[in-house]
Amino acid sequence: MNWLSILIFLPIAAALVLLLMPKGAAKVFRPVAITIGVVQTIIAGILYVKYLSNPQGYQFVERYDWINLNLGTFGRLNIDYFLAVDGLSLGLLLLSAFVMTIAAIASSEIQKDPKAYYTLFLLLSAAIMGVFCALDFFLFYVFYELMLLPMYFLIGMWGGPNREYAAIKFFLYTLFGSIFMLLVMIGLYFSVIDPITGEHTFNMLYMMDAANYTKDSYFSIFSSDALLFNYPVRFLGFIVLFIAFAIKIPTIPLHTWLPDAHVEAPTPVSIILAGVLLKIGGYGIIRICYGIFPEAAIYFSYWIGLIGVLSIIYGAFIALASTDLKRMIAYSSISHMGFVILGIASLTSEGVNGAIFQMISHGVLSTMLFYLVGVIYQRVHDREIAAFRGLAQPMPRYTMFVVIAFFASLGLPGLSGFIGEAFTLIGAFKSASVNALLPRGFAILAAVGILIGAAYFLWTLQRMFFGAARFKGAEEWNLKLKDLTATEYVVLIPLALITIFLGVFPSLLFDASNNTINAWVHETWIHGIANLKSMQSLLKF
Amino acid sequence: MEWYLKLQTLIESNNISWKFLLPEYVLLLFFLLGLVIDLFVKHSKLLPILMLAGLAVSGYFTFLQISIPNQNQQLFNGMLLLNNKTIIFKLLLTLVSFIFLLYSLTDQRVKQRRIAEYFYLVPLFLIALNMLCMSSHLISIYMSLEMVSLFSYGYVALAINEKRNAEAAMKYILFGLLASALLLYGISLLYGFSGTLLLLDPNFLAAFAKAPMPIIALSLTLILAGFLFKIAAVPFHFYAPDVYQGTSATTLVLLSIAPKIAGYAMFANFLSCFSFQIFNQQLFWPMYNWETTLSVIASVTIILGSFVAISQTNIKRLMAYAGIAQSGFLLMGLIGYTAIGLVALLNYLFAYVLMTSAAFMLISYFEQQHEAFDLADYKGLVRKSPMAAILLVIVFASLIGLPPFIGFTGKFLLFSASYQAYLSSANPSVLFTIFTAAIGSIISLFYYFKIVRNMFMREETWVKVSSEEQGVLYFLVLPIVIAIIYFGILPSGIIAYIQSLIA
Repeated sequence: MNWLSILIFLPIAAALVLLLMPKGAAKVFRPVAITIGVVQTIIAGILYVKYLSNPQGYQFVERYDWINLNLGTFGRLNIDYFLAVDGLSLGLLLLSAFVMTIAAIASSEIQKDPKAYYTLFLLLSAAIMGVFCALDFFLFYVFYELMLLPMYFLIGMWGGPNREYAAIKFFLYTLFGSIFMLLVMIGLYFSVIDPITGEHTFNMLYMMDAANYTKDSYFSIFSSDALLFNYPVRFLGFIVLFIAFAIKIPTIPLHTWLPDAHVEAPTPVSIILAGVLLKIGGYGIIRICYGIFPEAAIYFSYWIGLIGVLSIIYGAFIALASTDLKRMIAYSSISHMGFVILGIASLTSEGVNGAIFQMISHGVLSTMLFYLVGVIYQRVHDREIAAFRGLAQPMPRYTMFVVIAFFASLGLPGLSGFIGEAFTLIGAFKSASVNALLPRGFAILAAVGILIGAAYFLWTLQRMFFGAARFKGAEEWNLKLKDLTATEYVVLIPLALITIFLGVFPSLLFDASNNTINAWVHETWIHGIANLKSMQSLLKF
Repeated sequence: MEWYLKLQTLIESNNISWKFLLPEYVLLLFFLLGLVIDLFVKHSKLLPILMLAGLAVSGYFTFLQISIPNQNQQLFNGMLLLNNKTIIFKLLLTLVSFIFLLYSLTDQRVKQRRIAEYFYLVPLFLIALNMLCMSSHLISIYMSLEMVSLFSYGYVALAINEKRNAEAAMKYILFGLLASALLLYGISLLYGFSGTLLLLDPNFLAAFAKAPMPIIALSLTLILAGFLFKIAAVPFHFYAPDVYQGTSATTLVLLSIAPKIAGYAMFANFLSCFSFQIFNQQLFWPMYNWETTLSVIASVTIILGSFVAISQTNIKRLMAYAGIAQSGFLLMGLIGYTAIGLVALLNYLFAYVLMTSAAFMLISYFEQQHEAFDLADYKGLVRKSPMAAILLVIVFASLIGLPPFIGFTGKFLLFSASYQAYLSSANPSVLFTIFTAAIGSIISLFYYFKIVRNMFMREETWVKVSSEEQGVLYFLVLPIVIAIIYFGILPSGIIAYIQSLIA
């Protein structure tokens, strides 16, 4: 069975069916989207369990010719439809399917144009699945860009008052990164040769092997004149790709689209954005930036680690100062994704495993947090922190879930956030003695970031939920602020359970990713050092 | 007696040449038919149908010419050149004219004014365009260029909103005259040095080597002017926004595309007399490097078109500047003058025909249905014409170059071709062009999506009641948009076909 293709094309088929349905059938749209999400989650779950039985290398491979052209002197243009997953992408695939399901359930608040909404939603789902499965750079790029159009409309048509600005800002930022990614992709294509056919290729796995580069090509490690503006071309390629994905994650100083997009987006779109789309940045850095340019990754690791640490601290400080609950959570996302960057930069098994764990944990937690914000916003259409006091009085069960989500986010042991942050910190700390890439100070600074994180979460908890009940909307709000409904339980209970479960049994994720990551760290290090030596002797920089 | 023999071979070669102009005869025949019908039957409904049939028949004969075994058929002693490359250009032109005629049938304003010329001039216009594609002699280039310009002016003046179109036509004519005067001056200089006007004459190029370089550079630059005017590239782009604004969007389906295609065809012919080695050889051409010249023009055109488009408030002016930026993109295909560059150019021209014709048909549709001329008039249009609005989004996404639409594969090939040109020449200006093209793509998102934003995210400001006629969307625009998606996902077929023809 072509499981991965089914994962990708199931939502597209559903979207086409939705388009053909009459407007009167609006009631079935959401159930259809939820069903598709559930089916995808089940398929991804089956693949995950299958993979666990033998967690080695790439599995569920599908490979067909997509575009195969003879262009005369230009050579052949070879683009494959090449899908496969490994321990790195499978966890994220499962997370995406799950988050999309939750987002579909959370879409009950969408009243305007349901047909358009769910069609775009399903297209977005297909593109996300494709990004995590594609191993052909061209195919990856197509899926990567395919996410933009649906996301633009989802923010721009169903968002808050300032939605137009937020939507185009998101679109422009991402396109800025990806258009230059396209140029690097073309450059790589002309440098890499498929060892079997002898033609140029977009296959990412071939791009990762230094032996596949033609001798004097631009991106070759063994070229003695691969300089552009007196700078090694491979380093420039790395920087361009890193910027493209750093926009997606986002890290400072490329993060400014995120708070706008989050604040304006409706709850389900915020969930997708934080739960899935940010992970594509982290995934891209691990798979593509580090995979293809290991020597640049090692060369720049100090700066990458620094960006991670600064994101952690900067995000935490802004979150501390935020007055809007959703904005606070958006900035806390920047802070939490900083740990991912730090973990990757450490290039240790603990750090990178921790980074993947942190991505999945953050995917679940941010879904929960944004959903919780959505719960009160739906009731009173306000989410100013100062507008609420003593929310625990009218909404005790809601408060319980908030407490779980907050404590998990601030890194309380026993909950999922702790594992991710702890492992990335261990990795960052160990790096100094193992590979001397990051100074120990980074780990210490990041730990300070956790402290600030604890401060803003606890402070918010105290300000909004504890004490005597007093709301901006007075009596009117008292009536509106009812405790959780059945649907909300359906969403929140699994999320809370997963958080606790992952916190207690982190091996559930590590079992799948560990082999892949160990091999990846090893190869990145070996190849990186070898490449760096060769480049330094040839290019003399 | 020698002169008699010469004359005889001349006549014989001409006699052979005539048969290769079959598609053009068909067009001429249908034009004459139209003329006669219009004399006797006023407002004949048959006339447009007949013209469509004429285009189809002529297109079919053009298509048949592909199988002519003898490549690079020189007609009329080198006045015209017929090869597969020019045939593709001619087919593209026939396609545009066909789409234009078909769409004009639905244009209410054309119907009301009942101008028969509007229809029966199309075949004649197409003859001129075809001639320009085939020209390989400086005189035939000049003459067909003038002929194309003449009909272009005519169409601007024939268009519907009377107030502006006279002014627009006047501007078009004045700029056109300037450009063709420069072209003619360049031609005469070249003739003075080489003693021949025949592009394929080996003496033509050989004479350049002996001539003083500054003058050759000057004359080549002057010839460039005529070409840049046709494709609306900087610095000969000034007329485009005014002309676009002054004429109807329906006319622009033809005028924004056809002269551009013919211009590229003519210039590709002109460049073909420089072999690839000479093309980039710094030693032989110390003063004039085509690669640098074209890169700089392409960069400046993309940057200027993109940035000025941002501040436009009229949709047709915006499309004019966007079209200028697109011209810069198309120029990227000619920069290296490589085989792949030509494939990329032809492929993108095909994409351009689909995208731009669909865009102007939709803009014309909005003009007629909702009297939408300014960007502000597009507010909330998705509520009134959801189908048209969604189609326009897809067309714009394709014009920006987002996958999975034809514009993406088109731009991808152009980027690849320029990158390859850069690899072989290491000319930094080519790299600069690639860079500006990337920036231009990002900016194009911004201005195209201003329209999208108005359509989808703003509330309508005023209500214009009109009877919605959606027929044209389904039978004409929708198939084109489906083609845009189809060739975006499966581009192999069309690219391989173009490649096999010009290889």
